[in-house]
Amino acid sequence: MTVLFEALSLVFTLQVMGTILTASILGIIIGAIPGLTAVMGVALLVPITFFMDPVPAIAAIAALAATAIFAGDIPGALMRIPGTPASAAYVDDAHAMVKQGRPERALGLSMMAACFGGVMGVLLLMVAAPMLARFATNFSSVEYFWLALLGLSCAAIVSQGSAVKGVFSLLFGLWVASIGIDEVAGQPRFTFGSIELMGGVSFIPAMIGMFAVTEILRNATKPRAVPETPRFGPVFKGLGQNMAKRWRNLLRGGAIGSLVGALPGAGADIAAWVSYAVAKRNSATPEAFGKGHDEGIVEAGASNNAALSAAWVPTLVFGIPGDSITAIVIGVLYLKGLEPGPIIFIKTPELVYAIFIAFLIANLLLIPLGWAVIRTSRHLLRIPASYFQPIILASCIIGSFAINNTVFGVGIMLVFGLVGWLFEENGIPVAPAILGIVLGNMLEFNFVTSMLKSQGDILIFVQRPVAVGLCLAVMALWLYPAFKWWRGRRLA
Amino acid sequence: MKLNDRLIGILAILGGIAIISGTFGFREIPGQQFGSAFFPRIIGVVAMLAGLVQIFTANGGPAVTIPAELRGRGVFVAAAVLIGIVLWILLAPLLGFLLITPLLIFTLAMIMGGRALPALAVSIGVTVLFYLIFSSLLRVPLPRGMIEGWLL
Repeated sequence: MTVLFEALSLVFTLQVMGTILTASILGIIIGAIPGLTAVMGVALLVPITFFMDPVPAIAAIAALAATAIFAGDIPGALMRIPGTPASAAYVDDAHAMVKQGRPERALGLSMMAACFGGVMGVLLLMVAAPMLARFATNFSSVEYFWLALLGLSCAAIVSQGSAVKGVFSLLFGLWVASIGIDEVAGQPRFTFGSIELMGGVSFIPAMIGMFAVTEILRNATKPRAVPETPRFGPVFKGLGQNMAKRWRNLLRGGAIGSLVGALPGAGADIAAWVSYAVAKRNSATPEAFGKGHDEGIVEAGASNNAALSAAWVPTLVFGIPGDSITAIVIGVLYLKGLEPGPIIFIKTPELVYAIFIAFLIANLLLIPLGWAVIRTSRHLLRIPASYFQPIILASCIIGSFAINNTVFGVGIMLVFGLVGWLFEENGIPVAPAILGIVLGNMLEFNFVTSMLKSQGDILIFVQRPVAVGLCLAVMALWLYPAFKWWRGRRLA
Repeated sequence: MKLNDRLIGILAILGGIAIISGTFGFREIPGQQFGSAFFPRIIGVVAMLAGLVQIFTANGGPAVTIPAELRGRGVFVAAAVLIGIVLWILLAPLLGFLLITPLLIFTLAMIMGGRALPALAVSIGVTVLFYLIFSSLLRVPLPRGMIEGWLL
């Protein structure tokens, strides 16, 4: 109980509450502007959090992500362009509802669903994370090796599109992680003679390049017309009844989203697609889906925000990110000298609870801020890209510069921006690369440590029960695409 | 710019070979089986294997496809963004943050189809805001140049 009070006193200060509010407003604006995603918003926020204390820093990221994922529904509904990939699953339904002259209904439903799902995800986080952490204190380097491999495999194989391309992306990330002086032997690797690369590739400029510069390039090559925006009715009128009617979808969406999000390597976009499919299968009117039906919006809308919160479970407990945003969070935690893992639950539990409370506040802020952004979205959508794209580029440059105070960081940003853009053009997912960069050292370190402990006996990796379970999960993941390919050929 | 899927496979194999050949110069620690080269070599081998799978499962098609949006104005704008970043890297230490940043924002806004007066206002306003946040508040030593010399 004292821990909870300590956590409350950490959060309810003017500085932290102000940070949460500012980050939430930023998130909701970024999400509402088409072409700016939640991950991009987080990537641009990180250089500023770099200078903050741990609690406001993490709280800011959590708040920005939660509001941006909801606000991504706004361009999705009004223009049929999902603001973030997590909104893509139900964009047809929301847009059809807008075309039928009920934009306030589509956005009101997705706002309430987002808040509800987010709160469910946070509750799961609050209950499951400390329990798992207690369990995880018994883990050795072997379990951590398998966990890192499981997270990376999930990211590469479960990602949309070709699994082989996911693997390419992952390998690129792992290779980037190996650049710099090897921790174990002190040997410089792939530094190309550069002193700046001795310490490794700076994570924040790399991530800004891959998520933000890539998007600027994509937006630059695909200009958009300013949309016609519809007139809105009162957002809250009849909303309560509509939500009450769909309580089953809400609960199921929140539950499935929480579970998918808690898997290492699977995030909000996958959760939304899974929930949309589940809603359709269990609906009395599956034929109405995609034509302006509310069940999919409610269920998948709850699911993606639930996944966003639940993705923090593997992040905080094992140090294995659940999606791109939490991969960035891990980078930030390391920069703050906080190594994610069960130890932070024991050493600094008040910090963990403070993060949970910040998350809860951000999700509750969704309703007032969501209402405000729905009312002002007409104007937000009309901001010409010709002004905000250069501003975003400038903030990318300053953010990359500010981490190490050198222009070398800006160079890293440029290189990774080009790589990310080439990846996207060729259907290679970017998220596995980021997870590879974050987890590469952990994977290598735990592998080498385990092998040194066992004096080269590879059997050490399957000698403990949890390790065997994780090993089977990793193997099942890798065999699944091969099985799918084989079955596809047999049916053909 | 879309590459042929088989070409991507070939590039992955070449990348794998490059990574492995890059590890041959690494110093080995006597008596230690798993040195600095071990992990990169695994990455290299997996890259080559995945490249082979890609080559055998991929569909054919032209080696390089330039999509429609990269043929017209799009390529010009994208190039301007990239050149803008390079120029910032080269010129920021000479001209200073307060001169190069508004120049970059203004030029890109004009290239992307903005109007002169709003672009000018946005570029100056945003630069001052960033300067206040990063230099005054967060104490980041932003590159100094002429204007900083006069002001401070």
